[in-house]
Amino acid sequence: MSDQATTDAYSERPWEAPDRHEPVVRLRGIVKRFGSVEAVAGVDLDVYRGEIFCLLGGSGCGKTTLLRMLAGLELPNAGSIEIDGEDVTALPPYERPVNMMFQSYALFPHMSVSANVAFGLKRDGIRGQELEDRVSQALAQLELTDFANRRPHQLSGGQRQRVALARAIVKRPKLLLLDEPLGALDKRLRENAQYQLIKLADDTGITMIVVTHDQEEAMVLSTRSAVMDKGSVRQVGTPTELYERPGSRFVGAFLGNITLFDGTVAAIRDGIAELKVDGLDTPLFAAAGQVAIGSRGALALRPEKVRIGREGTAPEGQINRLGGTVEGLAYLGDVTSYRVRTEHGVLVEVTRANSENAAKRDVDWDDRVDLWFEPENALLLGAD
Amino acid sequence: MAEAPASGPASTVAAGKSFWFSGKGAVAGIPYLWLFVFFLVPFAIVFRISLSEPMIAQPPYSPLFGADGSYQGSFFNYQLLFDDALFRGAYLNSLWVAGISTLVTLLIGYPMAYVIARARPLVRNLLLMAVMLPFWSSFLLRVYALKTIMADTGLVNGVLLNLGLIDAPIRMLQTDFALYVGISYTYLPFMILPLYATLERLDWSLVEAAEDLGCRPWKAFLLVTLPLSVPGMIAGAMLVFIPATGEFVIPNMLGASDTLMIGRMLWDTFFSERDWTLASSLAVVLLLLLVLPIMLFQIAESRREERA
Repeated sequence: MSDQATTDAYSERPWEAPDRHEPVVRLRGIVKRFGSVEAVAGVDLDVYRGEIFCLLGGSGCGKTTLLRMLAGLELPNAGSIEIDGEDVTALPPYERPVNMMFQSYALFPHMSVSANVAFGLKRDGIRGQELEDRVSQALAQLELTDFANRRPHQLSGGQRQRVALARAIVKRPKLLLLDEPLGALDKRLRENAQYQLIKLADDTGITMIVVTHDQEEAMVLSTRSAVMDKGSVRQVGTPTELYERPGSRFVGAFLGNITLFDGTVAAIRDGIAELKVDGLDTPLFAAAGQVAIGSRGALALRPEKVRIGREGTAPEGQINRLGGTVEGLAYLGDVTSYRVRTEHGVLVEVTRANSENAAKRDVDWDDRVDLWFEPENALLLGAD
Repeated sequence: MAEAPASGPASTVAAGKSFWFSGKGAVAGIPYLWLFVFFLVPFAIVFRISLSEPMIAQPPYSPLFGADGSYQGSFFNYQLLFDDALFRGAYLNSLWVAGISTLVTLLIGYPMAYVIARARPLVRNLLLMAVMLPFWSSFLLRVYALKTIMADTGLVNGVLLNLGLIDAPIRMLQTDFALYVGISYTYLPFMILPLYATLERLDWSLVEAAEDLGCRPWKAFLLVTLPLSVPGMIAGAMLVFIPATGEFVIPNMLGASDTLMIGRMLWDTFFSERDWTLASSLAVVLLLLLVLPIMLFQIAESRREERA
């Protein structure tokens, strides 16, 4: 990752210069056990001011447990939680400068929208004009002014989601926790809500930690994400880093589609590794990740990085070249997705942008095709 | 689509015709038939008797129509009930005793229901079983057991005397204390079960949200859990209050002999004084007293559902 770090001309990314920035959230060695199950197995994380930080992983990876420990709804068995320099590890939820938006929204059904939003402020002793102003400001911010007197059950799903968000930001917490904030919305609403959330983070400057299982959501929302598996963080990075430079097969396969060719590293020259792929006579070349000569590795290839053409159309001098047969083809409008079986039996996913009218297909079902790709567009991963 | 408007009304008519003969009709009809035969008809008979005057005859009340076919019924008995302070007192006392008992069961039952609802599934089922366990023995047996426990020579006094905490047995039987203990003990499950059902369905993330927004646990309870469990409290209160008002056995066996309760009054009027007509009017007024709160509850419920 560090080789990718370039200091931005106009704004330095704090996680790239940790010695100059204090993280707003600092987790060290967090462990949480439920009975004999270790839900969170030693997590260290730093989250910086103004970030939208995603905890990304499948169900049971520990992401929600980690979020609940940040909220104070669970206490860790070991480790420490610091928020804005203050150790809050043992503090109850009502004493933390943190608010949470629940996956179920957890709106109080016996209270109106404005009473729901006012609830947290009243607990801080805010009354009168200030209370009114701050509630109506939060409602306006989320376009809820017209629904102030409604009860939660009189609202649509998207409106309820916004009430939950308004209630969570109105106290201006130092940290906002969001548990699958867009999970219950349909696809179209979700896209709007994603950009609304980013704008909200921008306008309020509130640091957010978002739990999601949806890698696309993490990529749209996050400044950085932590990919979690079995209670541990596998990799932390920006969406680009995680997608283009996954550190492991797990992360590579979790974010987007990927084709892996297993083999043995034969040579490394100028940062390009030569991989003797199992079952293939000609070697393949890829940017060397952290692999050593002679070790087992896997060449990881994203579908959009592979070129496809009829047999014999691969350009001369292209060192990464594979032959195969089209087993599947899906026209998706903007792109066409192909599934190509290589001669040594590996199924390669290829997508091609339909930048020209795709009605006239040059590659069709059962066609013999050539696949080729640039070495720097593929990545060599360790064997794990 | 084109034939939908034509088939709509036609099928409704067909369903209407066959409803009472279909399986659905029978399932719905049998309970109604049961209620008609064993509730509405007897009630009509009781109401009819309440309009007569007592006389020495078989049956012991005057006919509703004279020999000349003229209507002879009157609300004489009801007039008597309202004029007589004894009856008025008995009604008020019954409502008072039932009200206090309802309050006691609520105060004891709510924490129990809360603990059961928050327990883990295995413990929860055991605790629920424990609540329902008394139903497996006879009600009368349980009242007799209470009697022996609270007797002057009973378990409680025995223990207290042996410990030297008291010099003479505390008199508990034939007091209001024993009456309230008896009613509260008997009706407690009817309070706990609906409360448990409400609390068990309560979304605990609401309480977590309240704490996250700055509530200490007791405040979260007051602002979220308590208001959301009101339907359970009302249902439990109805289930305790209504039967407790007409309770006869417990006041008779545990209460003071001068405790005027309407159930006992009814029994005495019917069996000792053999005044069927007055007893019938007592029963009719009691029924009205109890139907009224149920109707109020139903109206409140349907309003709440309309809002939902």
